[in-house]
Amino acid sequence: MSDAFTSDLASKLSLDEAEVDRQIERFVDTLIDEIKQGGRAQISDFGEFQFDEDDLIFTPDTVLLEAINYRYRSLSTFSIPVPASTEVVPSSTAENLEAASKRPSDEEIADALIPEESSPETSVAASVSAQKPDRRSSETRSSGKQGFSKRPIFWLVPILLVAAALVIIFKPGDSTTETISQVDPSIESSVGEAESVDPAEEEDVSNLETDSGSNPDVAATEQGFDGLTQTELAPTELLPTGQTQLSTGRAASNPFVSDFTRSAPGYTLVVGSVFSLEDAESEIRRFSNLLLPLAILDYEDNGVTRYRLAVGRFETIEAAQQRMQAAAEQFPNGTWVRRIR
Amino acid sequence: MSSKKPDAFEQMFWESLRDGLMNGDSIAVSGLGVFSIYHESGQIEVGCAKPKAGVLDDSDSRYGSILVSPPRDLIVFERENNDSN
Repeated sequence: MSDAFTSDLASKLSLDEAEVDRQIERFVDTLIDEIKQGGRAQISDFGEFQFDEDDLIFTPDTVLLEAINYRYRSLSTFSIPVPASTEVVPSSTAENLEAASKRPSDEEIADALIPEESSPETSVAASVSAQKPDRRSSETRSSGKQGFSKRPIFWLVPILLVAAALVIIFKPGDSTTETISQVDPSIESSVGEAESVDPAEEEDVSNLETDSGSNPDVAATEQGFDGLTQTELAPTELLPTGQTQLSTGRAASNPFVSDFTRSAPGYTLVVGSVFSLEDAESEIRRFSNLLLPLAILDYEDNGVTRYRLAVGRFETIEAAQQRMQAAAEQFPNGTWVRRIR
Repeated sequence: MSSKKPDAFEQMFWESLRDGLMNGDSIAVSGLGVFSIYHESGQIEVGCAKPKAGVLDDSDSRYGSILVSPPRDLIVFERENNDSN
């Protein structure tokens, strides 16, 4: 019997621990008898016990599971888009999935990340997560779950894997040509933030000041950037991958300002605005993992220069809205569509 | 257990057990078994996905994906060895 459990119960019932032990024993005996007679026992908001032949099985209630996982409540599975022109995918995925109960070796991780020339539709699972506890075998686990670990340090492994995979996938080229994919630290940072356990850190993106309040969507989409001075200084040259090359001037220190220009009309998603170019450069890096063209657009507001963070360039309003709605969780609240021309 | 109204002891018993699990404790209940919390870290899956309908942007209309699943905690129950059962 867990001492802490018994003492806690004794404290709540104002009884001594010996008496509590006796009551627990009687209660458990009664519980076991009832399960044997009725086949199962449902404990409200806790779970269900039932016998499977001689094995006593416990299935936790959803309420209890949600309470246990409260700190992860705001986390959900997310997807990092990758251009399909890059072939990802070795065929050993199924084997990796089956081996989820053990930690893959470095060689296995490396094998899982080496692109092959064929079978691009086969998915690859780099299942580095599932950590099997040393003191238990899978047969002894009543829940039948695999991949347990009490060492959060292993969370670093998937983060590093994402960074490594992105580096391999995008294959950085000539050093004079920087593309979005080369901003590894920012991509890694984005992933790290998304995976962070601390919910407060996850809200960072939403902390961006959005000016959609003063720029209603409908009205905004009808306006252009005529009154704006874009920080981009030079026209860009399209790269074979569809991404853009850096231009000169201020753009040289900012890989995002030249991703699209006023010479390329269309629509963009404004995800926020800030008061300094430095903040803009910092904040817009959060969106580099979307692999959309990025730009910082400055404008005057009551004599104050502000910087809009623009993500994506779309040919039509509908395309911009569809992109935003298709992955609403990737954009902060208040993201709005802006016309560029 | 579910067919009758639980008495004060029974209520306190499950409440204390729940509180212990919320704290991440491993709790052994004599005659019943051991309740434990196991942390399962997230998973990464690299694969290809079909383009989203209606997406016109070139860089987005032809993409695959890297799926990242969040971590979670699991409740594991191990029956206490008991020959009578």
